Amino acid sequence: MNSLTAPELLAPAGNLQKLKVAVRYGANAVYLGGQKFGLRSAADNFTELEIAEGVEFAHAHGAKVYVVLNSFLHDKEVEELPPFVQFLESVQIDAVIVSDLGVVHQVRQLSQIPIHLSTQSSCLNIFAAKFWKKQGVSRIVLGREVSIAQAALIKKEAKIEVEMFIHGAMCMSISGKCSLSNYSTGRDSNRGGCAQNCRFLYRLENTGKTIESYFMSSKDLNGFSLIPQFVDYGIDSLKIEGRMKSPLYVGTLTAAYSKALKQYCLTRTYDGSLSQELEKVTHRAYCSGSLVSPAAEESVYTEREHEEGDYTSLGNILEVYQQQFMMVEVRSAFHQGETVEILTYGEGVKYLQLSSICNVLGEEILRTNPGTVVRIPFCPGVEAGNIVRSKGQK
Amino acid sequence: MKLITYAESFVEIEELKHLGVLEILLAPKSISRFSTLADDQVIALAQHARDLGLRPILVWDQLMTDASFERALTQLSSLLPLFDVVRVYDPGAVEYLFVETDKQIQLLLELSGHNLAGLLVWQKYLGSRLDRIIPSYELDQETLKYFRSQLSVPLEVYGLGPLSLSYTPRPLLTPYFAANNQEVIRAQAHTEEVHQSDLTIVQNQHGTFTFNGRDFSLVEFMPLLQSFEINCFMVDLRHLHQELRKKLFISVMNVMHGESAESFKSLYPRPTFRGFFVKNKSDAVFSKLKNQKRDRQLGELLAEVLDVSKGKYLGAMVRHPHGMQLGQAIMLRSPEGKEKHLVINQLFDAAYLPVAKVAKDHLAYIPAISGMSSKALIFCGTSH
Repeated sequence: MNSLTAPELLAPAGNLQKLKVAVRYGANAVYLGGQKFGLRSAADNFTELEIAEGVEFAHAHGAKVYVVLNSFLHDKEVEELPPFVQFLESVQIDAVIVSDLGVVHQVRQLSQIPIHLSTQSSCLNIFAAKFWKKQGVSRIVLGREVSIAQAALIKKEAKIEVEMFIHGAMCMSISGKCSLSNYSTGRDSNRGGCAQNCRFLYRLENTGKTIESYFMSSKDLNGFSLIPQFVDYGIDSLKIEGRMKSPLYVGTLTAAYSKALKQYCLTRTYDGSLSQELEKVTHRAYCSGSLVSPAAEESVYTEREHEEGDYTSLGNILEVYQQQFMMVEVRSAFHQGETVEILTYGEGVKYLQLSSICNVLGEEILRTNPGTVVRIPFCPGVEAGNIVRSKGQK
Repeated sequence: MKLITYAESFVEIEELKHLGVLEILLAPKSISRFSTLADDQVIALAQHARDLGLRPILVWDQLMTDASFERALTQLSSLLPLFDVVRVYDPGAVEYLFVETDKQIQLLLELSGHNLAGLLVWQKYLGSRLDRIIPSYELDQETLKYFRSQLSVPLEVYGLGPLSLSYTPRPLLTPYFAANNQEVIRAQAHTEEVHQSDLTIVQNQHGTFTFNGRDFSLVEFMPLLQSFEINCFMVDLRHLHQELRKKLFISVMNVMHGESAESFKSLYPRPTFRGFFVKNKSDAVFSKLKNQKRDRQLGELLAEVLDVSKGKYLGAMVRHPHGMQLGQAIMLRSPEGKEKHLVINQLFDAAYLPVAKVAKDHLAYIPAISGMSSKALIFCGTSH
């Protein structure tokens, strides 16, 4: 039996350590961000020295490296591009991922680096793909609203490589078309500052009816069971989302997808049991998004989903002070009296009722604000860096 | 500068004609995100507009997978003959019109197109077929003025109306409010997670849209926009009662002709804001988020500020292997780039007890420093 051509497995590399994990566990390519021009401002991101080292490591193991330049750049940022692009070409990166037409033009003028179109450009149809190919793009990372079958058609009609997300967090909005963060926090979501307003708890009101819900929070994408379709339809690259995710996440997913892809391409059999690996990393409830048919209500969190064990990350422990109290960097609001969970390194989950919350001066706080540090009671076994979370949110 | 707006009835078209408007926007709900007009209504309105000597512009601003693209083309077969110019948002729609038709194209950018290089590419690619660009409504005045001076294609600004903040094809309200099987479902959304005005959520056949609680308005800046030689000023009043639309439109015209914007402000029924028009400060926030590590390389990093209470304290996580010490000279650099140099004369630990030194990976507190916020970085200063 002739083996099928396996699509490229593209894994996220939030930093040099994660790049090496991804490559060692089977990624055919990795994508990363430099210090500027990308959409994951909060990620560690790579210095130029780290990019050079990462490219050398990846190439030595037969993997490719793509660097994101996918922010919606303003003029002064475009002016800063040339030295960085020339540096990237000098270290022989394999492609840049770009979302802005002006940046596509600049990269073409400055270098021979292949250009992939970011999902942020929301390319969803054949005519759009043809337009971008004319602009010099060699691969399109399709919007997550496109199905596998539609992607194959785009590939065929536009005669261009296509890449699809196969796993990870999803925006609710069409990528690049959301500015919720811009007008609530002043953080431009299309330039790396997204505050993820879609993940917040909202109170919805309509003609006297009031409901509390995470109505804009999308489930995570999981295309594992659709590996046969991805391969059979000839999709060129399968992308795992998650430059902000942990090395454990990157390694676990990359290994599982790599193994399943190789197995299917060699034997044309799909081992569904491998999907259990995907349950071992932190994730939201899974859905198949629009990979088969348009994502609908089943792709959104509901109250019921939260009752079945979804967690909210409330923050992380910054310091455990002499077994007296703990200092927490707050990510999501929590209240005095609430019981939270703390995920320890070696002692499992600890439960802590917040009998008191105060600031560093000891002033009582009833409800915390994200972006602050608060003091909570000491809990044995907890260490700095541990995650504080709650099961659902009331 | 011309005014342009949507029309939804024969009466509106006639009123706009009487007011001196030369162009109107007609949006069929089949291919336009925020409309209630059926295709046959739009066809009739377009014909009426043409009969009156107005230039109707077809609004085709949905984003489309190929399935919805094919449906759109079916609608367009009866719509296109009535229009010489089409306003589009999807690059696929641009390409289709450019390659398959001879229509003039108006390019709606909304959130993209923040650099001149990209706009010049569009201008060159579409050439004489590019009728107008409606650039991002996030451009500040300085950028808008600059773009106007560098581009030959006419520019139109979004000047007044609701501001859509997100767009998904998913039906987000159906699980909660679908009891009446309405074609359009609306709700108000409030969150305590961040300080923001309530959102208006609208779900229709194209998906679900969130709108800012305040409408976008550049009416008070009309004289300035005229000085920039902006060609058109777009007004979208479709969300307001019909009786009010004419009065508001006339009020906007009066401002354009030199009247103060105060009477407009008192007439407009909803709160408004100007977005990033005065200055797009998301740039400053952008550097705060993206350049941390780069900033780390600018000096010998000592600590990262995580907790600030105005007038009280500033708390930072110590990153330097030697820790932070009382008497140490430091330089604080805010996310906006402001710098302050001082010597630590009071140092506290996480219990707010005075200490001589705080070790790496521990919290250090000093008295609050004005102008320094969370995410500021602290570098080692020169020796004292």
